[in-house]
Amino acid sequence: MYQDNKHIILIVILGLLIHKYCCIEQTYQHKEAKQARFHVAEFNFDHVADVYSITLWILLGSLAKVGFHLSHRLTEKFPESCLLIILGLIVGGLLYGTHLAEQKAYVLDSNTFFLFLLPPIIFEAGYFMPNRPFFDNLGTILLLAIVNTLFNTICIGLTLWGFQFTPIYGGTKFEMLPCLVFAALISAVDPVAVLATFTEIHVNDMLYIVVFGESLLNDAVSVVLYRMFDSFAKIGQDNLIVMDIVLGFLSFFVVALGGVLLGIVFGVIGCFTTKFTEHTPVLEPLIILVYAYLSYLTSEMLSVSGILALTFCGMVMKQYIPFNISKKSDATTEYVIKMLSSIMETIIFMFMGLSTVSDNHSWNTGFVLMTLFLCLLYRVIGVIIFANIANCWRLLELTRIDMLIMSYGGLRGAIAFALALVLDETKIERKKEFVTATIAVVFFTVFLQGITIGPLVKLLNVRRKQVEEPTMSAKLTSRMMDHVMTCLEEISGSGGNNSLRDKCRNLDRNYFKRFLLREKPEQTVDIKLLKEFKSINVRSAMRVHDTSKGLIPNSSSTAMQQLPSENAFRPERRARHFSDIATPNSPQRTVPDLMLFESQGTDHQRDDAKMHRFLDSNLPHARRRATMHLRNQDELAGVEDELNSRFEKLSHHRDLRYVPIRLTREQMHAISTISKPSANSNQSPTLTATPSIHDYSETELTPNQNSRTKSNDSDIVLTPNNLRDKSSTAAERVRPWRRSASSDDIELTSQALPKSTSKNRNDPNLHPRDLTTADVSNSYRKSSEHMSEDAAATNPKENSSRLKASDLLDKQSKNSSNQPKNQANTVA
Amino acid sequence: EFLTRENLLCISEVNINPLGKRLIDVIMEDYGENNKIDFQQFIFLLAKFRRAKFKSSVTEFNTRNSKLRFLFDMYDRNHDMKIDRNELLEVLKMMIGGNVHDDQIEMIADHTINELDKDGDKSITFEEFCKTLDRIDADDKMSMKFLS
Repeated sequence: MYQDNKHIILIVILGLLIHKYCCIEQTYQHKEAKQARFHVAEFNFDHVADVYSITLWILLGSLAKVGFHLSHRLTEKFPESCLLIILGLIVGGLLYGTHLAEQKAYVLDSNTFFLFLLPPIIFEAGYFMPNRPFFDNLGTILLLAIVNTLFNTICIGLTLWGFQFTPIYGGTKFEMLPCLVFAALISAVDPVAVLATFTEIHVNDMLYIVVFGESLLNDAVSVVLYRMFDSFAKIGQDNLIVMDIVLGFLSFFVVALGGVLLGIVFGVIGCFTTKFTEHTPVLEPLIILVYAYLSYLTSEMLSVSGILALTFCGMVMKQYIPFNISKKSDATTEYVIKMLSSIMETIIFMFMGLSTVSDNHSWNTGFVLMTLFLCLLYRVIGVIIFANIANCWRLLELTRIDMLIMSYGGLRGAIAFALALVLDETKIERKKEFVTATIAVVFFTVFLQGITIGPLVKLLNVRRKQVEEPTMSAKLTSRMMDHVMTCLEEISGSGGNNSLRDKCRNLDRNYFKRFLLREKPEQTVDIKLLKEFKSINVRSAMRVHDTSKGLIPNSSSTAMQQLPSENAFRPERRARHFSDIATPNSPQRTVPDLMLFESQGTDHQRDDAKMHRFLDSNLPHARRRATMHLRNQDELAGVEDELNSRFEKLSHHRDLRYVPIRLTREQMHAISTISKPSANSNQSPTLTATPSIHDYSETELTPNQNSRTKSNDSDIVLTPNNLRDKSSTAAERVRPWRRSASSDDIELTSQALPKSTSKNRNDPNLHPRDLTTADVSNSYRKSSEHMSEDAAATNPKENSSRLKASDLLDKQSKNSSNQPKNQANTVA
Repeated sequence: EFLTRENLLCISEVNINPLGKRLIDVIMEDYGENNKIDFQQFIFLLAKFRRAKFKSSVTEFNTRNSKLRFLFDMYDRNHDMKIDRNELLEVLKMMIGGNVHDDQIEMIADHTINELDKDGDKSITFEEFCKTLDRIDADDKMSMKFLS
């Protein structure tokens, strides 16, 4: 570990030196009047100077973060923000020492800060805001954000002004309005600092959301107060009339409500736009980010609260967008948001350290100490008063320890600093003192409170966030409690949180979801339970896969094979095997092929594996070719099972392998009808193939057949094994000479085929629905586009194979289409 | 003066609520008699959910145990002190709704039983049930504010 430390320190120092060198280079003049000759390569720094330094800066920040996290000891003791500020201080010291600090790029520019650095952080906060705790505690949060901030501002401002009549300040005079301006910017809790600190200490959700929500929502108040007092200072204290004050009061409502409204409007527009982006999934993350950023810029333009707009935009988007966009876009969006927010936070803290080292200060001991003391004092008083008021209506009371953490978590940060830098020195004479005091308070809170809050939380035994895995039973019980309490509240007439939330949810489902979502909102009452179950399954499957030592089936799988092969499915056995295999303390159990679980039948697993290996060795090119279809696969994703898609979008798989393959209903029906029948068709699908993405390449095969099926399907089979039938034909299409190989497997498959019917009813993703001709024709039209891509590759053999399949299908549809249904029924 | 089942069903939210009918069953059978509930019994029902804000307001009725007991009774309609697979299935069906296949719901039920069942009898006793709720704030979630 020490070696790692050394390496990282070396890297950091190297980065610093490079940075310095480049800055020095910037001032180098290339002005020699030589004879112009052709230069093979030139050194042209001016060309890229600005961008280069920004990029280097970002790189430095990221490397520093990487370095910090390599050292576990450091990250235990210090929050990241402290270390970044120290780094900024070091770099600032270096630059100052070499007299380069005059360069504008190296001081925190408020414009840059508010336009570029702040929005990603706020958007991330809004997008990932845990909705339930937020709205449960909304009353408390609003009370604290609005009234507490107001209280703090007035008290701090007046007290600071009052103390100027005492000798503490050493004689400098502070007028009232500038004091109030200063108080307005210093009393607001900073969301960036809170985020940076609280995410590392993992307190329970409620406490976190109260402090964090307060820090977000107090922007409305602090913006209003700051602007109000700033304009008052510009008007001049003597010229004020009552009207100004009244207007200032009214502007609060405009700013707050305007911000919220703008955020919601942009969020809704964004959601609505994603309704139509089925064919251009690549644009989806961009659209989301652009709309969010627009909401921020628009509200800044209209001088309403940009932070509120961005927060609510994120919250609205989170509700609807993940259901609309493709899974990849969803994962990408989340990751991009997180990445941007993280890097901006890093830059902000480094810049704060950097800007400290400059000439813009004026240290007034009395003022600084007074400010510090008053900030802490009034924070504690404010929290005590308002938390007790909130406790009157709260169901879950805020204990004294909660109040202590809340007041301790009132960190000031970069926003205050940026606002201080923007002060107009001509109107507010004491700007330098203010800046110094702000920096002092910010440093104190970030360093002292940031470092000590972790041990404090541990010492006081504050309830921590629960990071254990959610269990189905817990989720089930909590949903049940919600329903029961809602009902009881209705009966008893006391409208509590539950009934309100239920009403909102109903409203949401009936109006908003219908308008904003691509697919009709489901009729099920409690989709969350299913979601939970699905995610639990996926998680244990992933865990099984990750803790495996290999993918070779061994004795454990044979043990499973020896289960008497029943027609009816035994869910408990399956569940038991999940938990058995998922236990980490059985390392000698190598994991069998996870298709085992997907197929939910154990008897042909051996055949599966054999075929798997066989086809693997024979299909190298099929894969390469199939990647052409990757783009189409997303586009086809629109027409599919509702339930399936909802699951897939909500449970983010890391590996596409485990995605139950999406196909249209008709295709699935076609597959099921193909796979069930006699084994004597040449088209006979071998039961497995490489479980990779080129399964999708089969979509162009089936619509031809689908257009002829008019039967209503009852149970749709979505077993991936059946689907893999199709990919073998892909192999055949690519290498028609392989066809002979498949005939060998017919015997194997024929014995496996009867079992396939048992799989019908057992798939978790079953979704019985009726085919409509519209859907069929729809998919036909779509896939015909894709077919044209492959038109060049088709050869007569494939055409014939296609025909055969359609013949087969006709035959099938002529037979009672109820036959699969009956089979399935008897089986179950 | 009695409240009948039909009276309660008149409340529209109760109708919409997935567990509404089950709740009315519980109310009528456990607290009332002959499908009617009178005021006295109604009070006993609601007393369970009174908010235990101060230590003094915790009586024998609104202890944490009694609230959990209420939940347990929502499942256990044959009063054998165990939730077996069928009872769990019924409640799940009510909550999840109609569009989901039966087998899916069965799987969820079995998974849940597996998680909770410690003695392997495929049913959940009250103690096992309470273990789940250790983590959840049952006490605070299941309180109502009335007559403050």
